[in-house]
Amino acid sequence: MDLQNSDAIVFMGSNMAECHPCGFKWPMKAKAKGATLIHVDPRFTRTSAMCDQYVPIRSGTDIAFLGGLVNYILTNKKYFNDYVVAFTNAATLINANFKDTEDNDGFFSGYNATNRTYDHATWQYQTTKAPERVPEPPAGGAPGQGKEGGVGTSGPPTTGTVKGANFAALIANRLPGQPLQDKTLTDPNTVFQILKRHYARYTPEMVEKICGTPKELFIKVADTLIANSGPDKTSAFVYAVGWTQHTTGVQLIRTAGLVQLLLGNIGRPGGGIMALRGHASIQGSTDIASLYNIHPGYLNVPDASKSHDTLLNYILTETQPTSFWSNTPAYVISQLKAWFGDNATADNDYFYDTLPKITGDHSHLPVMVEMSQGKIQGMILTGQNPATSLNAAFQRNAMSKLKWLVVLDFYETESSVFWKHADAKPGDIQTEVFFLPAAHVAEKDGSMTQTQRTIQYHHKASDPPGDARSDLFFWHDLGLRLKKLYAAGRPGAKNVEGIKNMTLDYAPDPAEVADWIHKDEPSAFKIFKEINGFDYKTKAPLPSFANLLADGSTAAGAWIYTGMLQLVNGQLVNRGEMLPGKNDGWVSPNWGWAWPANRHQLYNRASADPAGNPWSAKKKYTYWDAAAKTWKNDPGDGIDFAPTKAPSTPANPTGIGIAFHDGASPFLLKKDGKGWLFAYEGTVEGPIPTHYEPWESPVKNLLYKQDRNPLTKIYDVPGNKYNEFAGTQFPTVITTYRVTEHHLSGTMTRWLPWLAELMPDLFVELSPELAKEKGIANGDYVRVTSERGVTEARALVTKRLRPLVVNGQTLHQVGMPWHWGYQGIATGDIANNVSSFVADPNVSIHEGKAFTCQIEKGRARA
Amino acid sequence: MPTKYVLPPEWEWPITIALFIAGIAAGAYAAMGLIHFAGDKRDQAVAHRLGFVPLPLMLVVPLLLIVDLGQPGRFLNLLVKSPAAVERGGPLMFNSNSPMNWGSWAMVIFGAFAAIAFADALHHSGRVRFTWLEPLSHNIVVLAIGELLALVVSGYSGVLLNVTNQGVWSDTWLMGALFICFSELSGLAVALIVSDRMGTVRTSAALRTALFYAATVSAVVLLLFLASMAAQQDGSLTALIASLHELVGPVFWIGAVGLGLLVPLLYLAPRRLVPVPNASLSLIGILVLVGVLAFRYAVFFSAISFVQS
Amino acid sequence: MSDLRGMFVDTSICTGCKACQVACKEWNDLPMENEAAVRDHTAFTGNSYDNTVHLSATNWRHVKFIEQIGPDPSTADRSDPRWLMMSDSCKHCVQAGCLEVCPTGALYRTQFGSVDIHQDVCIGCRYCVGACPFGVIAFNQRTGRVNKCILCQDRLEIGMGTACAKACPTSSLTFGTVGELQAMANERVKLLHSRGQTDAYIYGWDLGNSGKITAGPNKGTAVKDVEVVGGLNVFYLLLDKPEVYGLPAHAALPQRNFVPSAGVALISAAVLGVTGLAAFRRNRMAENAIAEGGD
Repeated sequence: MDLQNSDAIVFMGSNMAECHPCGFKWPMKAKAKGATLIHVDPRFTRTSAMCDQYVPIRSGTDIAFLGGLVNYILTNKKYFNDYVVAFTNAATLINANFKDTEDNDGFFSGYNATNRTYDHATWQYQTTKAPERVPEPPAGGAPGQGKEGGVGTSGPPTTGTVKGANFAALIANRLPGQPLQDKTLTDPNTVFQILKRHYARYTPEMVEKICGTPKELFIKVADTLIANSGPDKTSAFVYAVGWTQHTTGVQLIRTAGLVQLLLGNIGRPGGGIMALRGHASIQGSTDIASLYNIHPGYLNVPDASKSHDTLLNYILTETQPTSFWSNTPAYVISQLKAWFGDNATADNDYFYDTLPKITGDHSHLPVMVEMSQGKIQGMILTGQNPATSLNAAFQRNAMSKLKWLVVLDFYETESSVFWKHADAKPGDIQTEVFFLPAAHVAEKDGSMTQTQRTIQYHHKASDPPGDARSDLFFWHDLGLRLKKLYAAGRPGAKNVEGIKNMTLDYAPDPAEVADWIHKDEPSAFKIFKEINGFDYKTKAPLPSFANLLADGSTAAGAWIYTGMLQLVNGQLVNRGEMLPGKNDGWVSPNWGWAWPANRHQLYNRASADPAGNPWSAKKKYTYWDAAAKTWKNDPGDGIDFAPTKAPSTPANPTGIGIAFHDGASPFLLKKDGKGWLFAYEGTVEGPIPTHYEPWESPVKNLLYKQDRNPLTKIYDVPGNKYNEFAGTQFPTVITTYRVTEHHLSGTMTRWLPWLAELMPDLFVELSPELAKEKGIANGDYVRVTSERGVTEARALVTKRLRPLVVNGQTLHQVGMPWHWGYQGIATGDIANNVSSFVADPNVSIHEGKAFTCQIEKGRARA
Repeated sequence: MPTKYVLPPEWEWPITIALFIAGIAAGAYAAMGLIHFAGDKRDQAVAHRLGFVPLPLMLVVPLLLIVDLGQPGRFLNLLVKSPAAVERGGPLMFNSNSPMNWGSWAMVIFGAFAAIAFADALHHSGRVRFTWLEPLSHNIVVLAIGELLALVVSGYSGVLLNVTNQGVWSDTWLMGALFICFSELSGLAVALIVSDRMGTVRTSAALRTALFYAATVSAVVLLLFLASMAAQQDGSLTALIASLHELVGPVFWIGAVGLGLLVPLLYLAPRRLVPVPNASLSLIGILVLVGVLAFRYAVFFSAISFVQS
Repeated sequence: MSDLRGMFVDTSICTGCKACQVACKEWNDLPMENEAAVRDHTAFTGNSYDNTVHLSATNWRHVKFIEQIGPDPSTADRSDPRWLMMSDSCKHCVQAGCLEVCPTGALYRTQFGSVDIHQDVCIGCRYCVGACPFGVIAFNQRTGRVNKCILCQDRLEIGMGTACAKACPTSSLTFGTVGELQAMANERVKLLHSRGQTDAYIYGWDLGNSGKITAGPNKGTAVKDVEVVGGLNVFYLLLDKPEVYGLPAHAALPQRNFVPSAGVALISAAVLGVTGLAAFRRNRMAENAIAEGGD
């Protein structure tokens, strides 16, 4: 909603009008108020049609483009100096031994070529001396449970339980020194100077050479952004999976972060980087843990390779002494208490030991690789369709190695009948498949958290048809059955106290199911209550994560959601159900509830200058009321800062958490409270984003000898051969995408007659120039091929696609939506037959947005 | 050219034939009236025989309309208001803006007059005697009203086509006139056949002149029609000619123009302009009828083929 | 005027999402146009993102896509690219051709000024199909009756707006009273003009705006507001000539031809009558001449 306040919006890596059509009303409001809209994209899409500027770009070269913006801003001295000096780490000094990619042919210092990793030692801040560590008492715990404590040592102190642990003291004992800064930004070791050197060669000319973006168009974008940023103007970036799905995805988004920090567009109304999540509650599913390495509320899953052997060590490893994450102990223990209930106590580490630990990357791609190698026996698949996903044949083949497969979905998806694919030999497949009909979202209670972190509760509107049941019913029932099994005793079963103590008390109250056929559907609201958190004794919901304690007296499934239920005059109010009242303003604090603590604009302390005054009357948002000695926000947003911490508060070298920061450090989740232009940790392939070519690219890296992200996760397994880098066999760049008319792999849309007819068949978009070269006419069947396979599609020849001149050579790009499969009303070939398994090293996201192919006229199969 | 933006009404064979038949009925009635008014006593035998023609044809028309509309009862909605049609006024349906309403009422009432003519013809054939009918059937006012209704029946559908937004149809004001002309051609052709079969040479002679004149008038109206199309700034004539593809073109030029107009013009001219082989008047009448059917076809399918092209 | 309900279709903010098309089908429970074609892979048109092609008895609403990437589609020039989109439906004409020719009263003017169809009265004569200047109303082979957008008469009767406008995410479709909508449209045109988008004008009512097309093949052509057949209760803000959107520049009522056509028909009938009489008279005279000559 905040996009309506922007003065300029750059859509890049996003086709918002098509893929987030409802949210697109807000940019359109901004446009009506005079904002300039810019679309940077390989294709001229329905978003481009709505924008003032359309800027073509080669897929996968966004860092070069954005790095070009950084360079343009720095060389022309157009950065927001006051903001940059006070709120970012521009002035912070980096270890003098740090070496940049400019000095090192595309590598930062610390690279280990053998195992393709970086040692981050030279990337660190220069700091004052850390406070002296005091010897620590042995960890608590009943005799026999804890081993020897690490008294007085500087390593992990203890292997005992958390009983009696004084977390405040333990954290205080781990405080680092204060970062050193040069506020004149002139020291060669300042982040600012490093940044300048790093991006010096990202000139408009270089951008044109690498991205194929005409120089004038690039400069127009830069000038528009600069003209619409500053004290009384703000610009926003909007992205989606067009940015994430690259082997450089994380760094790509970070580059936008650099641009926005330099322009002072973070934490301010109309500013920011809007991440458009893929579908209705994908934000919620990240918050509440559909990823293998994150527990609800962004707590890391215990990891066998880290110091996570005991709860205490886990907590001390995960707790950041100098950021808001200093509160981690309360969040972790409250979560364990919510999961394991009455019997979970400090004595038994709240059953922490019974949690499985990860041993590596267990994300989708490596799991499918293991499955293809026969290492995985069974899979429960719900809301996912790997049979049409990346390198689809590989995934279907992997599934055929399973002993059993359970699919919960509301249509017979391609994955549930992966053996029906034309190329499959059902006779050779031994997989036993169980298909369980699932209820649709309208057929169950629950909540959704959308892209602005706003949670909304919804109620079941109808009974599901036939035997279809909610996912919740399935998992709850499975949990109950497991509990029963283990309660009865399983020979040889170890470490089962966790399962036996799982709190699965979600049986519905009669009133909840009175109107519905199924009387045993678990209560989504009871889970909602557990997620919110409650006082363990009184069971009263807790109003804020500030109420969570590390002593087992509170329970909360996900600390970020604490407060979505409130007791108001003794009445339980579900804020996820609330609707705006009159004069609710544009922040609309009563429309749903945004985590954390109903704060809509994160880091909004940055909307005031270091002294706490609004940067301008026009962009007034959160500000310091000196008389009242408190931060205020007139539109009603929550203050994302310590509410009464004065702007002039000095940094406290002995303060825990955000007390460590001064009153002008808005970024409270960061260890130094600053916006990070230089990320000394968190990104594995470097502290500053660097242009690398996509894993499959027809051209070499024009900036460095190192062509591609050196840490790229590659899967060198049969069936996943990569196209030759910068070769001639696959000269065309291809990007995959979605259209408004369908959703993801089409499971929710290709079965719907009204949507099926709108986009009935798979097509590939290509320019008339490429079509002419290949003798392809509009509507012809064409073959799109890669080393992985072939996809047959109809040609949609359109000038909306255009050839680009990259480093003097004409280069063609094509685009193919990936909604189709062989099931449903509207069927078509699978775009992902040609994509591959290759991933970003930070988050294991694939590179479906930029790879190479060959395109020819004709049909793929007889 | 508005045609580009409209949908075709998909009036095809049943309607084409229905209007062909209704046109013959009305034309035959008109021919009958013409003989009544213009002929003398010796001509009346043909007039009486012609009286047999309109009624059976007018009974076939609703059958064809039922085929087209799909349900027997639907035709009634053209005459009687459905309770659901919330309109002011009485129970009868009449929308004066709609040529179809004019036509449907005209056909119903004309049916009564056709019945009178039929009874009169029966009476005169001597098989059944309706002596009481004579004052009515020979009443000049009755005949005049019947003629007027026949006129509406023969012309309304042409006016109806004018009152649309289809290409060709709505581009001129001459559709009604053309329909009346071709209806009259078919009526006179039937009269000529009847007269020829009866061997009433004298009446046949008058009728062939009448048919020649009617063909002349029709040819003039058709030329005016083509001229008016050509006069449209947006190139309707070109479009029209372009649209006359597949069957429509040959049917129009050979059938409608050739058989419907050139045959009577060549054969029936008081002084033949060019030598033609001999043919009986009946055959010429039949050829004209075929020509009129071709005209109906060409008209109905012109707009449709036009839209589809 | 204040009772009249209609819609303002601002094509300048239509994102072509087709939510209106789907909302229409959902609310009115309309089937797919041609399921067999979708299943047989013959439904893909290659015509930009438009695969439903036209309004029909089962498509009461249809979004059009007009690609104008550069001034000339046949050259590589991609300057000033535009992709025009427009959600089309029945215009609910103030003077409606369909309604005027309907011989059964099935088509009627509602209390909201829109044109609705009594399905149980319609006999499927298709006269209205041929009469509509926009090609909106269409014959339904399944029911043997005609269908078109009925401005969600059932929703309007209980005080709601149209389903399509409700679904429109960018307010390209706005439902309201015609007077309010005209004011909104006028304001919108003026805003766009003030931003240099001088191609905006109103199709349906003449609110006095005029401008010039800024991009595409018709760049430089003057455009101005146009009142169509006495006004359209569902009217449009367009950015190019009406024909570009498949709308007639000069829509006309079929009734314009009624009186002249009937008049010419009467004249022709009179001429035929006279020639008929003349034929008999000529023959009698010829007969007499022979008779006299024989004496």
